[in-house]
Amino acid sequence: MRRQPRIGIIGAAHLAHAISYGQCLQRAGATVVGVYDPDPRLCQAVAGRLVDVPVFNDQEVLIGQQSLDAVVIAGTTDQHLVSVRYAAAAGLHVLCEKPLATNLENAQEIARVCEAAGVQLHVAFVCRFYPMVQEVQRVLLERPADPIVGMVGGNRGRPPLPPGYPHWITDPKHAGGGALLDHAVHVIDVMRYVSGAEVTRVRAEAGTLFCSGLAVDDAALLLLEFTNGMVASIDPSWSVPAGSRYHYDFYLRILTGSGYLDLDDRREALEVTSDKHAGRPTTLLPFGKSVDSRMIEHFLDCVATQRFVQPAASGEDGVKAVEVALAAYESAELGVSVELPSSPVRERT
Amino acid sequence: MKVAILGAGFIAHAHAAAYASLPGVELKLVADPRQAEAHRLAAAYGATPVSSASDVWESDVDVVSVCTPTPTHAPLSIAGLQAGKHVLCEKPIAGSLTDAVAMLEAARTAQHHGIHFMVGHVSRFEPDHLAAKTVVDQGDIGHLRMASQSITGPFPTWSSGGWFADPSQSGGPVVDLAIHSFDYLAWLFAAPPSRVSAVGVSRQVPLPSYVLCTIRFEGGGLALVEVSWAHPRTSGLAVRTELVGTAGRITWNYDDIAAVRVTEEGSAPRNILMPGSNSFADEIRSFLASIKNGTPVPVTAEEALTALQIALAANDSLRTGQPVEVYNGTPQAPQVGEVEANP
Repeated sequence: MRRQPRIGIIGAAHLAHAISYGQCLQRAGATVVGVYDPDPRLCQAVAGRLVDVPVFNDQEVLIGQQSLDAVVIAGTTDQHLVSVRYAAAAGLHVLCEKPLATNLENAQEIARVCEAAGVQLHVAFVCRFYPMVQEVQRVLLERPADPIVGMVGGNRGRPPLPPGYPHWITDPKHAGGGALLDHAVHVIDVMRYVSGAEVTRVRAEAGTLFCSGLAVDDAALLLLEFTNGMVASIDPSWSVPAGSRYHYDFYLRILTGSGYLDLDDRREALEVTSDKHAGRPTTLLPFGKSVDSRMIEHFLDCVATQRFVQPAASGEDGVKAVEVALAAYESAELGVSVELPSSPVRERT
Repeated sequence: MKVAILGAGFIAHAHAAAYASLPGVELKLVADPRQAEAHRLAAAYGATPVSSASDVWESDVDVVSVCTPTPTHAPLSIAGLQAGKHVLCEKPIAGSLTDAVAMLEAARTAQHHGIHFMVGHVSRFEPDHLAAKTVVDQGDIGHLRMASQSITGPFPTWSSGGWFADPSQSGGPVVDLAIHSFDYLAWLFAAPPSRVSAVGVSRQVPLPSYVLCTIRFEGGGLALVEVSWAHPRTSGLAVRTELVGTAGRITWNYDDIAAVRVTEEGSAPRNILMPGSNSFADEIRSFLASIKNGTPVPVTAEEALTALQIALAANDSLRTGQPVEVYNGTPQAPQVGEVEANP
């Protein structure tokens, strides 16, 4: 029997994700060797939700001295590169929170460092792991003669404000942007994944429309053109009202030359109304295995077999999503279209 | 009240049925150079078919519905107003800003003589659209900040001689169909548009038949409009809308809006008792009430011009590949015929 993989959690700034990934790792039988964050309260918050996980106040110690196989990086976006460098230098595989970085140079450097060290780099694009997304990717792949005409996608969430969310998520220095960068990367990635095409031109609008005083955008709309001729729109806004039945959504509507696909994660849920739920009596309760679990299990498989396979999102996927999101910011700011380096359509594998 | 309808095509039938449903209204004339069509529509409602608009101008009708192809809206509406007829012009107001501005001026002149001009943006009269407008205006969702509307369907088969497929005639789905969304959203935001972007794909017809469009309104409001003449024929016309404010959200979807869904052996499920089925009658009733009471019409030429400005800016954005700034009051957008597909 194979030894259980030994994983370190590096950074807990994405607190909810760090806890979820940690729980998924332990459920999947991995050993969570430790959790590091510069903020000891965040370390404790993660460790307190996991079983027997020590906390570290120095990531070099956790990465370098604990015989790890891989790390899960969930620190602030601007700190991803630092952590990836330590991990790659130690020969550890990496699952990095999205977006990969706050700027294109750092995102590319993260991908380069991992490639040079020969370690796997997975980017936490969890939306790929929805069975509905994988099924649609398969359906489209099976119909190469049926052109994709257009896609309408969205990933909206509640405004990630304190106290429910950490302060840094709406701090441009640490997060690199607002709703556009935070959520559009998921949808950009899924559109690339299911179409096999790359974005060639971006137009966008962005603004702070819901939470006055926020230093980052909380609303945006993107219009994209792709190498395969299709067009797409993305709504990544933090526009889910407090009383909503759900915290976030993920949807994708796809028009092809011969038909129409309509994906919505809100359908795969029970509508539960309970008089015992104060404030929000009706909620959507998703059923089935979570995308976090699916992604973590796949990551562990790739680590165990020493093979990076789809649907994992690669460093290149992470870089491309950041590139498109940053082009969208440029378009919104300057009021012009932004062209992206046109790369050939990838082989769908 | 005596009425004439110019045009005897698809939308003219909807107007005729609506007039027929209203008390005290007599549909007297149906004018269309295509005699068979004019006869068919006139016969169904006990009206007299005529072959030219001048027969209508010389008649004693009070009200004229302009239900002809878009490029003829301006000359017919202006001639009707000058002949002293109240004019209800189908949407879009026109295919070009030049035409629309001329109509606006004619409407203002006619107003001085107690003659009314209205553009038939029927969406505003659909009960669902109207209810959402009320909720927004009451402030129940706070300040409206974002909106999206999708109007998707198959390519319309009913245009005479296929004029819908000719960009110089119809302006494509952006000018012909998304104009509903542009009018409705501008009405909701109650602010002029400032920037419009669009991307599109051409399918089957020589114009972008699937278009995604963003609109920025003054004050920062953002809207997304998806419009399609490229959806599968079996899917029918689908409309879905989302309005998000600082304190809440409104969503609805035509798939779910009818109280009765019927599924018969061998055919796709269909909705009956769609809430909007009386909207043309409601639109016409409110136009006739404005005439009778001498009150402002519910959809003004100015508002219809704004919707057209957005549509033409979207087509301009499709053509240039760039966002288009909308300068209110100084129409600079291109004519409908300049539309082409994105490369």
